[in-house]
Amino acid sequence: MTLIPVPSTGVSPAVNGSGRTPAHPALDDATHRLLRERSLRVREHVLRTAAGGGSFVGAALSCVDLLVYLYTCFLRVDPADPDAPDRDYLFLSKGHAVPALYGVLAEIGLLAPQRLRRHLHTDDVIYWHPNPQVPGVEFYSGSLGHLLPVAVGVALDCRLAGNPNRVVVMVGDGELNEGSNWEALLVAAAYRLDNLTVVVDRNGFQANLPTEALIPLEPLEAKFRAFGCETARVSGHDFAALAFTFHRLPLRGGAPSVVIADTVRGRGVPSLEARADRWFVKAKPDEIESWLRELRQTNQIGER
Amino acid sequence: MVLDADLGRSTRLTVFEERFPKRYIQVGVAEQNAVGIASGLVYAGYRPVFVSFTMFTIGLCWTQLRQAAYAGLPIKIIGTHPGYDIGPDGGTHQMFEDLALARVIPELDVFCPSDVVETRAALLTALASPRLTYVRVGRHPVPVIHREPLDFPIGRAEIVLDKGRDYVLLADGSMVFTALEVAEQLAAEGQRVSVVNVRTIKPLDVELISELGQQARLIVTIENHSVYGGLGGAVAEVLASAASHSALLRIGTLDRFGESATTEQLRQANRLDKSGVLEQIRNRLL
Repeated sequence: MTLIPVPSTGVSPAVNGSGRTPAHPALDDATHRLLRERSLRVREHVLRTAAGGGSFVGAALSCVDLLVYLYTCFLRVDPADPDAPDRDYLFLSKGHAVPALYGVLAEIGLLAPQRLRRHLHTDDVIYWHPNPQVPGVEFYSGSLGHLLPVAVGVALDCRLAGNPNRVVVMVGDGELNEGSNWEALLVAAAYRLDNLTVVVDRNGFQANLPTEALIPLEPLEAKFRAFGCETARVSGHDFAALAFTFHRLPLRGGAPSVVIADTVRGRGVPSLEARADRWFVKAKPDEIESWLRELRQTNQIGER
Repeated sequence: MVLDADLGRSTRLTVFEERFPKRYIQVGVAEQNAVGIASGLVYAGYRPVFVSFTMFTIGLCWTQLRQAAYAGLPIKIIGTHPGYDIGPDGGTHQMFEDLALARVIPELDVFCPSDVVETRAALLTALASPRLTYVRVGRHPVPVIHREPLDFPIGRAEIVLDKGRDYVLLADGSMVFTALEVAEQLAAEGQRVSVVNVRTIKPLDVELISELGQQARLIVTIENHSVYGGLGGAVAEVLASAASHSALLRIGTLDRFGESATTEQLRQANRLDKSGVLEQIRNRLL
């Protein structure tokens, strides 16, 4: 597996905040196909983690396309050297979605795919929540609201050291309830951290209820803007739209970028989609096989 | 008033919400906020109860709780899924430090009921108390060892098995049942052994523990918590105050974080199940 080079995401604009990257190249057919193939395989990995002790399938499926896009087209992460000091950072703050990250890491060659079969085994570290002993996992998470502040620290560190690394942190929409996120954004804006991008997996649910039925978050863009960030709202399942948005980073020089990605919980398997009761899923093998068939039927590569 | 931080399905607060919707407040995934709001609700005369995982109550909200205790507020904290009880969630969620953290806050009481009957009694006592109270509630299923009606006297431990005082096992919460299993085995082998349910970690039954410290050859503390600062730590403080006292074996988690597996697997791997505890005690039999 190789990363698709993205020539337009030059290093210097994000660092000195002096300008935008150039207009993005259109997502070519081959890349688009690769993204869709990878997403399909990652979703298969995610569904299989529902076996045995189960996993947070709904929360993972909503961010599969985002993670596949980021690791295929945006993040400079070398599978042969995942700890390279000049890598870009991806922090998964909604840690319970980690099956999606495991799947992507397997697809880009960082994680041996057979280890995914050892989900929750006591002799491995493929857990319900991220563990940095897995190559490519940057930090522990699972306790919500913890990694946006960490990402701000890393972005600040890169800035102070003059390093070109870009920092992306993916947060769930529900976890925006935690005040720590907003404290972190105040600091990110104060230090003009335009090397920081917050991706919100806006699947509209938290745990067992829709976010707007619990503690309403909207208007979300206005909230982030009020905190000094620049925002873009995009479909989190549309690769062309994601390419358009991520090639524009930073959205504004001198400001943290926030990409609010509208997504569907359980995306890819219609019978699991947008269901309040499909956050955590534990399933029997035949049930998983039936979801896998459903997934392949509704996500046939070659048509769009 | 009961406060939930979006874990109602796991803590079973959904049942309360259905029955008493007007006394249920959802604050979202915002635990520190919950304790702050609970502190404010006291001014209107309510006795607010905040229910969440042990990690997300004592762990996440320590300064807010300390401030509430300082203000003398009668808030009730119910911490669920303690220690290995949360199993596969792993190190981020497994809390082995809460008894230590809660115990050092002045004017805050800590209850550790050992079964469902005692949990009910502990909650009723906590609700009636004017002090800030932390009730640590297990998630790991254990048999019922108490009968209704049950008193829950603050500061008094309960002798649940008394077959001699050579070996005295002090346990709290879900480990009381494990201690009973172990003690029955030791008694069957001819050892003189007792089990004490330390149902309130704070205030601690200093009188009873001091007395046992003069009688027993070995005192064993057994807890689903770190051996530092929890039951074992509290008992060590009491014993060490006497010029001479029983030897002490503290059984619990050591100086490391949890890992992900089922509760049963974790208890077994960390020698906190019946056979593991038995083995640790046998290694110290005098």
